[in-house]
Amino acid sequence: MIEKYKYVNSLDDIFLSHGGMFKGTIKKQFKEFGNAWAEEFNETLNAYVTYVNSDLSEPVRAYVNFCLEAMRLQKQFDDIKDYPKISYSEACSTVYKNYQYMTKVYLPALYLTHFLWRHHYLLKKWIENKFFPLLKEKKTITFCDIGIGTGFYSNKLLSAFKESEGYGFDISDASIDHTKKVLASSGCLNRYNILDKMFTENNEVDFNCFVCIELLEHLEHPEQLIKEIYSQLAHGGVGVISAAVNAPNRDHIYLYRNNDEVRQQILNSGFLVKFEQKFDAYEKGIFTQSVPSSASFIVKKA
Amino acid sequence: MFKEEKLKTLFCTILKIPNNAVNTSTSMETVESWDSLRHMSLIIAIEREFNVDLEDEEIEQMTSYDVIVSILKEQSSD
Repeated sequence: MIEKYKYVNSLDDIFLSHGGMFKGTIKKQFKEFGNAWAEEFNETLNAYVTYVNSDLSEPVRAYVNFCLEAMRLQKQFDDIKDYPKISYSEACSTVYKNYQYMTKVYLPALYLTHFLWRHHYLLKKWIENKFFPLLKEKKTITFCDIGIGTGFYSNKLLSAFKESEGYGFDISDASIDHTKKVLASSGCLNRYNILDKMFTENNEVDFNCFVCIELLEHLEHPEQLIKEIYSQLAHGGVGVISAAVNAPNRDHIYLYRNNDEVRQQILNSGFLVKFEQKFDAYEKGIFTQSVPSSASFIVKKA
Repeated sequence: MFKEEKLKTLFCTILKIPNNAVNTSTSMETVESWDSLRHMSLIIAIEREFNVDLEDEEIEQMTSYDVIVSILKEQSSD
């Protein structure tokens, strides 16, 4: 049972004692996803407490605050059918360049969502099952992680492919620092280069693989980015594009209402879609009529 | 104005439990359907029905019928 996973069990205890309304979170996920989920989450938490030099109560606090805000916004979204208006520069100043908020709330909360949000965990598994086999066919792997966030997916790629080399693009100092810690703890930092700029400013990296996970909705003109990725990717290169759909957040700017809208932008950019999936956060009607989801695509440049 | 009967109706509608199942021992521990999503549905319905603004800390801790009644009574007496 869950007790044998030390850090997951500890997280469950913290949720039970301080998590209030989220107290059932860990057991619910364990019930749905079982030992494989618990084992990987346990390893992730073990690394986390080492590199942040903290116990797990801080990320729980961050997660609770983050979720409460997201849930309120989702209810509003049901009524107004749109995201709160915010420009990219406003999102930069209030979120990505706000080191305090990023390190105390945003990043620790997001890191936990990879295991605690159903659709995020399903996305992770899908990437491993569908995308990673495509990379095994390649002689060399040089990947770009466009919008590194917590560094979660860069770490997954570098850990799964020991000969790979990665480049991470992000404008947030907090994200860069977080990613460095994650990669240092897994021993992968020496195969990784961080570029403190927008991907669209890239003119130095040749790559045959990329991941762009839940970044598009943070942009005012996401299709421009997809076109830029296409133009820079090597022929025969492959990648993952995932975008949040109907998922309001304080820094979500571009509203995708369904998979079709994301797919159309991908096709307009020239990519072939090899696999496509939609991951829902929960069943319609349980909480809101609108259901946040991840529209996810594995793409190839012919 | 806080009326307990209205609160019970919200509990029944949102948590999908019979009226006689809503009592002082009703809590997240005793009602299987009362998870974090339905909790937030309940909270927002309460805010709208009783015209109150609940703080995040209150929302987190309102995990039993008793506590909710207590907080709402306190708010209505302010």
